[in-house]
Amino acid sequence: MKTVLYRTLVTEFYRQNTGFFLVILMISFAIIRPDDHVALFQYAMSSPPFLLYYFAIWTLYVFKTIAFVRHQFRHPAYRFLYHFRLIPPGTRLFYWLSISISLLLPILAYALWMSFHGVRNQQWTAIGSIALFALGMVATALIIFERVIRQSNTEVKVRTFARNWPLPYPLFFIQFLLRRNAILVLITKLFSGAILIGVCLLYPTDDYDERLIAIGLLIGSLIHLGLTTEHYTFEHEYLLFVRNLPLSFLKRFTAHTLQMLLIFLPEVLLLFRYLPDPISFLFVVKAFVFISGIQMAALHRVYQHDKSLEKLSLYGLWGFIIGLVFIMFRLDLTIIGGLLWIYAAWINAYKYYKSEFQFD
Amino acid sequence: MLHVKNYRKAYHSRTILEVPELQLQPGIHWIRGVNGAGKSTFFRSVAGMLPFEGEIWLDDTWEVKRDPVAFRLRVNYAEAEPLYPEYLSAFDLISFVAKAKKAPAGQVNELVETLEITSFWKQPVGTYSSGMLKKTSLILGFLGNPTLIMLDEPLITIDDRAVANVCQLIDQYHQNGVQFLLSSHQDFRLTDLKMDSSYIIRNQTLEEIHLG
Repeated sequence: MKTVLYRTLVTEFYRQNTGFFLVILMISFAIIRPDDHVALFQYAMSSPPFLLYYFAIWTLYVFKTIAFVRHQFRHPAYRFLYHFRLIPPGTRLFYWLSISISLLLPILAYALWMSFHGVRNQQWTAIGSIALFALGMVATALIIFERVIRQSNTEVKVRTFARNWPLPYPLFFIQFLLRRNAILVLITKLFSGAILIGVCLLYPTDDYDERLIAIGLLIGSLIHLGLTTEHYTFEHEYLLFVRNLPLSFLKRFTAHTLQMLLIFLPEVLLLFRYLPDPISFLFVVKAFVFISGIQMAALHRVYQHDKSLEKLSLYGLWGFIIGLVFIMFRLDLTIIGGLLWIYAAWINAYKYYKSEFQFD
Repeated sequence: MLHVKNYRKAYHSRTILEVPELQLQPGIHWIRGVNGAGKSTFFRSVAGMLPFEGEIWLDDTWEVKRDPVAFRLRVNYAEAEPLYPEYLSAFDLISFVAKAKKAPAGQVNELVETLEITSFWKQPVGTYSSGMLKKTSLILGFLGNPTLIMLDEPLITIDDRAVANVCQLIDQYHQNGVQFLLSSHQDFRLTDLKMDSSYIIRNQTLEEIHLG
């Protein structure tokens, strides 16, 4: 039972979120140096209210793990997990504790790193707060996991009214994101939005050019690779029947384009709101072609070579390095984005039906 | 009607099914095989839902890889154990597939009434029983003007009245020139349907067997 639980809850969580973790790691340790982390959290530990920002981010992560576990239990393929309820309470709580710690490991490790530096500086109040919060996170996760298993009869909440107009196909995935992956969407949009607003506000403070905004866009788009994984698995798990439909390249590609428009609508609106004065609003169009181009290329890369799903995070890393080089050499965003769209269109036209999701 | 040439399907480099040559004449054909033999894999390949090695021709005119749109317009498939997003309704799914398959006017209502899903088809799939899901999947299989319909385990999880209705639909569509590939562990000879041939998947290939 322990092996099954670990495989379906812990291993699967990290497997499905490799893209998310790599992008977070890339931003946290490739862009921000470890010394900057230390300086930042030492400041936070000396000024406890600032510590609340850390706790807020950690809470989002706890929500993400809880959402994943609930999602796994509710998935038809994993209903057997409810048999875990038959295990004696003591053993079950021990397993939950171990699973909670395993899922929260990245933030617990970060908290430990902070505490280690705190001990050196004798910041005992801050260490105490971090330790208490860490314990609280583990306990909260454990309690909610136990509640999930006790509520095996709870029906999945779905709307109770009858809709008299059919939901358009491009919205199938958007609904899936909002209903089943709201926390992933929230975290992705929070990060991406914060980075975009950050670069837009930073722009007038020095002699920067459009490249600064472009770097923000690059990072913001790469953060969305987690959604790409969801997009691909959703299509192959729930909408396999679509591959039996006579949808022409134009129809398929138009649906994908509409989905990209909807996914990146918040970023487009943010750009309109925060775009620094000297930059033309035409830049927003370029920005959309660029960020959606990255997403389209990532999704279609997985269609072309399904095993790439596991490597999406690696692509994110290389994408960041190559994208950065292109931006620094002032290659126009429309050209980069346009090339990525052409690649996606080529795959969609010629390789789409060769895509197959093979479970390990 | 259906011509399969040098078909091979493998998962993780392990061959699941190999059909060097198969010519299916017009009719209703019954495909059998033990669990995991590869019936659904074969159906999904013919439906264009899975990539494979080889060629699959319909009426010697349309090949699944060369004519992806024209072929899919004429070949329908209903899953054995359908899985749909719980927030969509049968109405959403049927409307979308009906439009894509160019279903003639009135066909949707006719099927919805025949398989008796009117009372729930606008409710989200998350509230359905397995039988209601199965009926939804079967309706999707009949939409449009197909030449070939493949029904994977069409008689499971649905009640006796629905079984009779499905058999009646198959018969009615067949009389209108539609060919069928059916897979089932149940014996079709116990129904009113007349099978033209029967095949079994064993030893990773498809062999014709005599209907006793």
